[in-house]
Amino acid sequence: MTKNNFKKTLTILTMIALIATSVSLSNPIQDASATKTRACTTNSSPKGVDSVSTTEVWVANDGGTLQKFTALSTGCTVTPYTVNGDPHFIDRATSTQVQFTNHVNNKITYFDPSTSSKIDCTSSNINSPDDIDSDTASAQYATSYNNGKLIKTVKGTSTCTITSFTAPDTGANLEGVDKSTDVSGFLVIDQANKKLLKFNTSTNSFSVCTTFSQIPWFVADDSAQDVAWVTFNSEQKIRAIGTLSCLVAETSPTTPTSTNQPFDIAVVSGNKVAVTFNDTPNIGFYSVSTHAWTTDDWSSDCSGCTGFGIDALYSTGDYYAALRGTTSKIVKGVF
Amino acid sequence: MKNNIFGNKLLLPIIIVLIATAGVGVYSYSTQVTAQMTSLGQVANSVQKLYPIGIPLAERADTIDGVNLTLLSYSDQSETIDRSTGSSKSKIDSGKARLELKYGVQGINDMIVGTITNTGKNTIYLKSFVIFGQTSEGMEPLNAYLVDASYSPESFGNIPKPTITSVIAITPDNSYSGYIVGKWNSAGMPIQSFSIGAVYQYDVNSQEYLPDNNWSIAVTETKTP
Repeated sequence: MTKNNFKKTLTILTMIALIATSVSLSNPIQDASATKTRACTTNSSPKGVDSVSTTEVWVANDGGTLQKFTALSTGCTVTPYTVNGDPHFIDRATSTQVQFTNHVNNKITYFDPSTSSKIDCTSSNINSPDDIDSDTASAQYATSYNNGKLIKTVKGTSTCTITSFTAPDTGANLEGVDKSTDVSGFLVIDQANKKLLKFNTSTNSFSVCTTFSQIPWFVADDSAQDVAWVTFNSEQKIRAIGTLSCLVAETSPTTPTSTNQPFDIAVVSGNKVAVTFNDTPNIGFYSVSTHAWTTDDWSSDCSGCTGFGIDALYSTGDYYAALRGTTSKIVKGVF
Repeated sequence: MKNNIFGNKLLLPIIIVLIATAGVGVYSYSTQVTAQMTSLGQVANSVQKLYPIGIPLAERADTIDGVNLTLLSYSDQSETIDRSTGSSKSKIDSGKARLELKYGVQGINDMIVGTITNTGKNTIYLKSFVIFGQTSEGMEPLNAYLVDASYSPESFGNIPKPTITSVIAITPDNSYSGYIVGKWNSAGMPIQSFSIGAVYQYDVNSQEYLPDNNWSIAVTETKTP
């Protein structure tokens, strides 16, 4: 090769590389990978996660503590709070009001981190409380798994008001719950009857959204896109359901072999979701644009762990998840 | 080197134009994908669901109205949820059932038949029996409610009344079937994949139907004709 031809060849190859790079950067099809940011070791057994902002993430631990992580972008700064019982899922409404379900003790508890005071909500209608979400700061809705009831709690000065609503089917087992402005209330999963239910908080009534062929587990509303996402654990798939029509708009492919069984789910941005798996320490991502799964593999950070709760910040694409194992981790990544 | 394409000055701009065109092409494609992406909810909420009326049949059948049925698939594996932990608990030994999905052709129409057979030792109580239809894109616009014992006009709203709205008791070795006949399309796409799901209960300790004390078991089978 002559010197001139070598220069020309080099110039062209450089241009090709530049164009290819610009195409790559502008092509959202290639966005289906996430960046692992942080893995914080915790000596507790983390379950539910609620991300309020990049500087405030709450975790419920079934050993009887809550944890507030305040700097997961830069480190693992954490404030622990002993609350006893068996915290399961958690929802932070205000700086002085964090509520969580007590899975074994049949309580829904309000915790004020500013005073470390608690208000326990107990009732014979609460039987193995599970998932929880806020309507407004003044009202929370939790699923009562064993008796198929949706529990509304309102915090008072020293007590709470409890109202229960029974799901339509006999023998219902209510699992996931998520607020949805599209349905003027909450989307609720009935595992035993394989149904996605709507609960209207104005009329206090359930209606059937749709029945599935497989057993659904958790639900994440994306009212901005007029869809909700549901995990199907043993089927190893997720589905997007139109929140207005209740039509199954999309069924994901089966998760990759290394990823396996979807558990909790969170919307990371429009039409993109992140899920935990209750048999691996991976975080799975599914995007409508690619119709494919991608994975953040946390096995080197959390060997032998399994996923539990996950939450995400729609505005930034950050996800926060609990991985349970011998050395449990709270992990953060960006999709 | 004169034969080298990089040695030809005319080829240089051509290559650049071709690469740039390819880049624009890829970008245009990605823009289209983005447009589809943002319209998932619009699509989901604009497509009308189909609720074919199912026809019940209190037995297992190999032929219906002269139509020979082909067994597409079957499952003997039930799945239940552990009520104390909420975790999946599969392949129990009692309260068994077999679910079958069959297919036939009646004129220009498809005939989709679901059958549940009690293969256990106790009476099972069928609460829900639904046929689902899916397009190749993964959209599931067809729901045929053959049985749903929880039906009420208030809770079902726009969903048509199921064919059967009471619990169906099926004794050991007996079957219950339901089928739909038609040719279904949704948003211009044919519905080509079908599945069937069943929810039933049985009492662990006796033959009595005690709703609050029973296992709830889901069975599912899927197949494309």
